[in-house]
Amino acid sequence: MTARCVQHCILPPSLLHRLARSDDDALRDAALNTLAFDGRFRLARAESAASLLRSPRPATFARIGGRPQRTIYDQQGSESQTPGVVMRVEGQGPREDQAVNQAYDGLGATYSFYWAVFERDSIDDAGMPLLGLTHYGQRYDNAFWDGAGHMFFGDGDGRILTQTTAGIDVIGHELTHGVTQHEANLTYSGQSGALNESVSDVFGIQVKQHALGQDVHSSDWLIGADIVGPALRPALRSMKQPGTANPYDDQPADMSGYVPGGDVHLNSGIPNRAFYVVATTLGGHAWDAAGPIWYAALADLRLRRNATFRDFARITLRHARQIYGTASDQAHAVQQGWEAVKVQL
Amino acid sequence: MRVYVTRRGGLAGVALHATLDTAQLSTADATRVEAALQDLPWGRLPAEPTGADRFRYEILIEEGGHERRVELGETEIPDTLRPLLELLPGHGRIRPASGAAASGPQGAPP
Repeated sequence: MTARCVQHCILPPSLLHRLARSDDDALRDAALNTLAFDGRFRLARAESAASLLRSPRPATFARIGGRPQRTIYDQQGSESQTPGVVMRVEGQGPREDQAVNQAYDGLGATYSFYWAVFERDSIDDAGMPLLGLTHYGQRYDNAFWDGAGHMFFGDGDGRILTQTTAGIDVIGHELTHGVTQHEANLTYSGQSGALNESVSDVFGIQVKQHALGQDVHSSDWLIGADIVGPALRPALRSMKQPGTANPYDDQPADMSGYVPGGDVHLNSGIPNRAFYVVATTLGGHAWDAAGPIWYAALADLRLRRNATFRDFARITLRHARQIYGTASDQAHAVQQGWEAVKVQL
Repeated sequence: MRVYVTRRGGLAGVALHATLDTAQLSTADATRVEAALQDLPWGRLPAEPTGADRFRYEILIEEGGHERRVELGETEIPDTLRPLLELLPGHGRIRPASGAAASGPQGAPP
């Protein structure tokens, strides 16, 4: 390997560090030069990114992103709100407990999606550890984000839900509540709450599509299909046709069905369907354009905690125009999406 | 003692409703549950939810011809009340999140 190749190839920092300890002077110098250049590049990018953030952080980068830091715990059927027994740490191989392994894999898939598509380093974009707490409660038919950095998983009751760690979209959904908390922090009631819920479904389904290699036409756009019990089959929600996922699903598909004061999981059908229309109008993968537009809107300083559907819709259109052009297919698709669900722009 | 419980929220978003009776519990649990019910913050407005996809419970009892009602987040439920609420998934009827009548089979437990 020549010095020139080291300077112009895309080599990971870990390899460069090894080369920097080489006995070969030329190789060592080349590696050190590349690391210094790479460091300056990352610093410039970090400073640029920091200036656009809600709460600007010092542009230190003691951590080079790209690797999750997962720990999976066993709550042993208790309702303690703090982590119980450590079952699997980052880098450790599979354990005997399948719920532990599913949680580990799902947290990893969520991390990988956000890193690969948005270069977002974990929930807070600063390498926050991903903590999964399995076997919470007794036959607990739920999974939730506690707002303090933990995702809790119930084993299900067998009728309403089954083992909740089996839902990769569910894991993406819950961790996205953490992302939202660090971005727009949408208030969890009213339209802002329904938006909060929808954002979790929008990125949750993409985590699943990304992990399974599904494009917008091969995805079923169903949330929770892998965790529902017999009472709620085939799924909790449908982003494609809100209100059809199971016999108790009464999500509205557009604003004519909006329920004032409705549960946040109810009215989320409206922005869910808007995203589905945008993504399928454009084709390909949901994260080609629709995902980045939604992500930019979520991170936009102008998206207030108590935003309405209309506020959010307008910000998505602004970003579609800015990123792709005013007359672009992407901007038109966004208009069509919100029109389909009768949200006035 | 009759207790009307509706659980809302959660990842699934559906509501779960049951008319429970402390007589369904062991004597020891029933005593603790009835004591816990006396101490609930009846009439208090619901607190802001923390986190996401957590349950909230609406609990209603009839006392001397009057209705007493309170809504609590799942973290606010006293431990002594849990044996009663644990009856809910097995005994409760599933309802749509909007509270309207279900279009499919009634959500009665098997």
